[in-house]
Amino acid sequence: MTTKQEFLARVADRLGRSRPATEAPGWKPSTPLPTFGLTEVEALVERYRTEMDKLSGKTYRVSSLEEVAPKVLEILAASGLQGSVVRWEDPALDGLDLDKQLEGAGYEVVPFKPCHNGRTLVEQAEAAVAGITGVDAAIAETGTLVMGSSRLGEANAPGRGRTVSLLPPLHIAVLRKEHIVYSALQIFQRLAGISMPSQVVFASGPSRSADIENDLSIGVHGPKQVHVIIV
Amino acid sequence: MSGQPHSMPEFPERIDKALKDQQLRGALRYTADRLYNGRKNAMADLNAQAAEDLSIGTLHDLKKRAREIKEHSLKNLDFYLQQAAANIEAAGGTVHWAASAADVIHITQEICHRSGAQRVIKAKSMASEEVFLNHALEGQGVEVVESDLGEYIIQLAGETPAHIVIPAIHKTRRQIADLFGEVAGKEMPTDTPSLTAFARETLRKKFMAADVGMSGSNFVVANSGTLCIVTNEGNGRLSTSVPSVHIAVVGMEKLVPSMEDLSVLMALLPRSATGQKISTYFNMITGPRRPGEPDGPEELHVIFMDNGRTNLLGSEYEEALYCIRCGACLNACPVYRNIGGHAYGAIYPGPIGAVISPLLNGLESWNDLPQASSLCGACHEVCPVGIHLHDHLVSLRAKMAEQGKDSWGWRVAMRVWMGLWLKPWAYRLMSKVGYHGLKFFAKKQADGREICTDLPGPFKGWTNTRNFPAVARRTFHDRWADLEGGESK
Repeated sequence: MTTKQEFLARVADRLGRSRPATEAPGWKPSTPLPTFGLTEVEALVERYRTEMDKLSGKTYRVSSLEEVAPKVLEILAASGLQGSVVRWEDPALDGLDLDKQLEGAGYEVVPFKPCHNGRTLVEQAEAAVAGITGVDAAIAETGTLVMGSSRLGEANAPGRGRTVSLLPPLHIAVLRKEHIVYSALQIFQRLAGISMPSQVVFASGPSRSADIENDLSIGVHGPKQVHVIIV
Repeated sequence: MSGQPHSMPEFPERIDKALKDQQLRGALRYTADRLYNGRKNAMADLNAQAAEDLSIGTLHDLKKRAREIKEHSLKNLDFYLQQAAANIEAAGGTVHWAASAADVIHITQEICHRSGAQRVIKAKSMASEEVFLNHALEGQGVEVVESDLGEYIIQLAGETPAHIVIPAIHKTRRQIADLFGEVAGKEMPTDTPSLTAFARETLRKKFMAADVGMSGSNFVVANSGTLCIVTNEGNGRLSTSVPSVHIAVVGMEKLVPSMEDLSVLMALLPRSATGQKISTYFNMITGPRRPGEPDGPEELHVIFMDNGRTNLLGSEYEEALYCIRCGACLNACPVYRNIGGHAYGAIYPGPIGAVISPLLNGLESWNDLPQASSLCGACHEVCPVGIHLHDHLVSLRAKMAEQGKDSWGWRVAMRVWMGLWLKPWAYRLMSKVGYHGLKFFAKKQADGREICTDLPGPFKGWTNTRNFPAVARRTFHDRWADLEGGESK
């Protein structure tokens, strides 16, 4: 077996050093990264919607928080699926009155509460027809949702599940329009300034593959449909 | 491990087999064209958007910057490896160091054994293909299931990937339906939605039952200890979210210093691979699940793998470690496009495979792969990090020759050729010999050119697949002398 010391010694040797370097020389690329993209909120919303459309994702605009739950019900009804719904337990979904309205319409709601062993929750996500999440940010340039396993910048905010946006056939996300930025670079710069959550996912439209004769198919392992409600 | 099974037929035979497979060549052409054009359009769009200040930069700017990032990371790899390891450990992960394929296998077996794992689900990972991990784990009685749709197909077929990005590029839907049919125990329809639905359902059960999820990592951000996984299907998310143990096998060249550097490489990778601006999923993993988080693995193991990479580090071939495994050079290569991945035999095919396979495994293995190139440079042109693949192929050919890896007959022939071509009188004599020698075999074409289509003996290999023009009666030297004579008059 190789030890860390042996491994690093071999690397250092190949780089012409007698022992592994303990620091890297200060480094600046020859040109700084540009500032680019749109900044105006309405333009960002429009661009985001255009890109999601290209990716076969669906977007909706609502003008108030009260309109979110009815929109969710509308999406579920249109899908024709009946059963349970999993959701984040997170401030991003506070004040939406989701549980009451969903239960009123006959859906069982399972919140992903912080817990020690969430195996049962994962199984419930697997059995659910839809997963409802908030979003930390969205990227207009690429039609991307950014979701941390805890709120970005808050190391201990665990009321979320990685599998809520992953296992059910429908992913319904609630996005505040002021959370849309233009580029992935802006997100990476933001992540550079915080302590990273255990997982941050960029998701751009429904799961897809072209592995069978290069023929595009939607809904391979992840969600088959992605619906984003923009408030 | 040389990575070259003894049972494999020789390279020319493998090429011959591929060239006769019209179905394979049709599939290759179709898919490689789509990927090639997808990349071209994505880059054109990137440049157009850059002109309006709507993208991170032109291809030219990004490539330049990506090269600077990779050069800096590799020159300071010892530091960045330590930094990444410290950050992964600080986030609760465990770091392992593997000098060889055998180490990777041993470490993985240990982890599976200790956690009592019976079932492993894998996201697509070239690093694990490189060490033949599935075979080793199965030998230990552990069930290993590939979850990338393409990898699943070739696993059922008992094959290795035929393309870095599209592993089952060579399989038809009929063949796929037959493979799935064996699993299902019934006849399967051949339409894409039915086949995809079957794979989703079958693999979902495997995901839920798996004890260990395995993945590679496209990039590792050193200053945060973050693993980055690029997928379209979601296999990279499922295998790192559902099972209770996550093992990532990471080639040590995957390190980048910071998130900003990642943004440059991520702007290039999906565009170069499939023509997408961004892959459907991109997940960034920093340590295992934290207290209170309902899901995610309880253990994260990161295996940093050398497996021959230090052979390239600090050498004239260091640049080949810039590779981000996008596969663009495969799609552009006139050789790959005709023979596909399996003919190469090595896990990494195409121009990049022809360069790194002999270097990773030692020059005594895969030493005929560098010959599989027309040196046209199309690979260099499409490479997002500008690796001078054609130059490295020439250099490797020279190395093989220096080390006497070429056949005896070839060496003698090249020596004779060199002897003759070094002396002007001998060169002139040979052009006369060539003219008289080929005259008998040449046939006059409709356009007046003299072409040999069927040469005898050792030259047959050439005319089997292409024509050989006859040597002109009056050589260029003769005509030049005439011209000079004419001018002085």
